[in-house]
Parts: sequence; C-alpha cells; structure tokens
Amino acid sequence: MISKVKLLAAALSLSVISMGAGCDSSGPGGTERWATTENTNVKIDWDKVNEAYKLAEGPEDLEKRVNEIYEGDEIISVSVKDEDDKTQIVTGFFDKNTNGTVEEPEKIFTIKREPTGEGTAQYQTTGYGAYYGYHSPFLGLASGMMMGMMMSNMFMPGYAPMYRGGYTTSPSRAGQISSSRSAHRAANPTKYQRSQSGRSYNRPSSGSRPSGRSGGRIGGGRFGLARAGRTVRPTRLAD
Amino acid sequence: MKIAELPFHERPVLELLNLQGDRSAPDHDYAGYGWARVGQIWCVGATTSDAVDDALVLALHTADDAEALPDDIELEFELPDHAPVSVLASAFLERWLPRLPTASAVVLALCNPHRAALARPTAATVPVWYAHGDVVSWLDRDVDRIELVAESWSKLRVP
Repeated sequence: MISKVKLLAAALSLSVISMGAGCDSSGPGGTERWATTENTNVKIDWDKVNEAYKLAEGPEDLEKRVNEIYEGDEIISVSVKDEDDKTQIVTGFFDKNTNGTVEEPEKIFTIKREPTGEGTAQYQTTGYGAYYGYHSPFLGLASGMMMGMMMSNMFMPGYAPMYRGGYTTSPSRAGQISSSRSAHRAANPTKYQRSQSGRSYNRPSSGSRPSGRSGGRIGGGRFGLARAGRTVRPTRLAD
Repeated sequence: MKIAELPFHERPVLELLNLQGDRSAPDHDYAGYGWARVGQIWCVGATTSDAVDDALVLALHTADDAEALPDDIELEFELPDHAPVSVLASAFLERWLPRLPTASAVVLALCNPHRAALARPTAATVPVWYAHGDVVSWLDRDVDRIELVAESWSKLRVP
C-alpha cells in the first residue's frame, strides 16, 4: 500500500515536454521520471501526492496538501469531477491563464479513482506535461482503511456523488492557497534541514531505504530522546 | 521563545511517525514532532490493543534524563538553529490543544519513562490517550494499520 518514495524533479517552464525532450526514464514501467530544463528543478514526491488524496477531507484540503508538497513557486489548482457511480477524476493543473478551467497544456497530473467491488476501490495517478510518463501503481482501497472523507465517503451507505458538477480551484481561491502556503513555508524554513544535534527532527530519519516490500511490519520511531551524559539541560519554557 | 511559538505543525501521519521507508525496527534517534489527524490508530499495550478512531495524534518527545515528575512529563523539542528547549506536557497541551483541529480523541505519541499519571488537560474536550514506558511506532502494511506500541495505555476521559 505504501509504495516506495519516488522523487521526481521537473522543470515547469514548459507547457508540454515530449518524452524525448528533457525527460529521462529512470525506472521500470515509467514509474519514475526526471525532467529538467535550463533553470528550475521542482520536486514532487508522488507518494505524498497519492497519500494526500487518500487522506484529504475534501477538495480544499487536497489543494492545501498538494501545494504544501509541491516545492515550486506555482500554485497547483485542482479539479474534481465525479463520473458515473463512484468513479472520480482529480486533475492537478497550473492555471496559467487564471480562467479557472483545466486546459490540456496546463495539466500536471490526474488521479482516477474507481470502484473494484463491494467495499473496494483503486486509484492511479498519471503525470502530464513535464511529468509525462509517471504512472503510479494501482493503489487499493477498502472500507475500514485509514483515509479522509473525500475517499471514505464512497464507502458510506447512501453515497451520492458530490462533484458531478465538478469542483475547480477558483482564481481567488488560488490566491488564498498561495498565502497559506507562504505562511506554511515561512513556518518551516528548514523543512529539509537538520537540527543542531543532527537528529532528523522534521523529516523521516535516515536508516530507511526505499521499500521493496509491499507488506510486513515497518518500524517507525521512538518518542524519546537519548541524552545520556549531557551536562547542559535545555531551557524550559514556562510561558 | 514561547510555548505557543514552537514550530509544532501538521505533517502527513506516516512522516510524522517516521513510517516512511523500510525499517525493520523503530529508529531510536528519531526526533520528529508535530501533529496529524488520522482515521484510526492503534494503541497497543502488553495486554490490550485499542483502535482509536478519528484521532488527533501529537508526536512529542521526552529525554531520557528529563525530570522525573509524578504527574507530568518534561517534553523536549529540537529546533532549527537553536539549542533544544523543554516544556512540561501540561503547559504544552493547555497552550496547543485549543489551536489544533477537533477530533474524537487525542493520542499522545510520547514516551513516559517515569510512568507519570497525567491529569486531563482542561483544554481537552475529548478523551486523551497517553502511554506508560517507551512508545514506538509501527506500520503493519498487511492490514494497513498504524500502531503505537507501549507497555500500557491510559485514557483520560472527559467528565
């Protein structure tokens, strides 16, 4: 379920990059890609995007999550469209002309969710533009799994699609997302750095390796700190 | 710095609990903290195992040499470009719980080496789960289940 981390770097100044121009397959089955142009390398952690969709409480929460994952300057707008029964298409796009609609050259990714049986579903993410060629595995879902309301709703009795008419990030909403993300980044200036002690205080610790397993038990962290032998105690905050 | 100014942020739960990657055992050097809201998390003790639904998980740390208190836990925070700071869990929760999203329960991912008996924070409007002894996180990918494993768990109920 939790597939290995696949970091993708891409230049986003181009609307569409063909597979032969600036893209280089780095993994079997086209699941990992690296696209670059002369100026910008912007990473998207696709595993986090996939997880964001799974955990999102709704489209606005998904917008927030995706834009906090994305490390570039652009805002990723989101379109959500419910199709027949429980199929849902989510499109991430750069709304370059700020018209609030998805246009093909603006697309970054789509996520297609579809039912696979009673109480089960799957979704897959596909990259576009500079991310062309990325395809996530089919990620399985089942009622009872940990997921946000956007996903879990489909397993509820009496489910009715909420986005038949479609939801799309409005230009004004994009401004709010930009402000929110700026605040988030300001509050996390060292998101990918380490503390003075060298411990990984705000990112996954070292010692992990890309997962080749699809099951089993994975160790996380201990919620204590070994401080044996230190002579200086930390300052205690009282207020 | 004030308690309310600590960089205590929302993080994806798998990142928050250091469950990304492929570790055969929990990392004892992990110092990450923050919060996440999850649909379900398991509080696993030596003799009990409880599924907590719709939980606000607070990942926190205490140092092995923290002051031993009967009814509180001294938290410690690693900070970027600053020396670590500490704060009592009671004070931290009073400041931070009102600022965090409401869920059906609060779960503290926090070691409690001195087995302190915490009092219910006055700011808590839902049950608060906390552990005794060491707490480590696990992900069981066979059943897609996140676990916090400790000697035992206590639940502070709302009156």
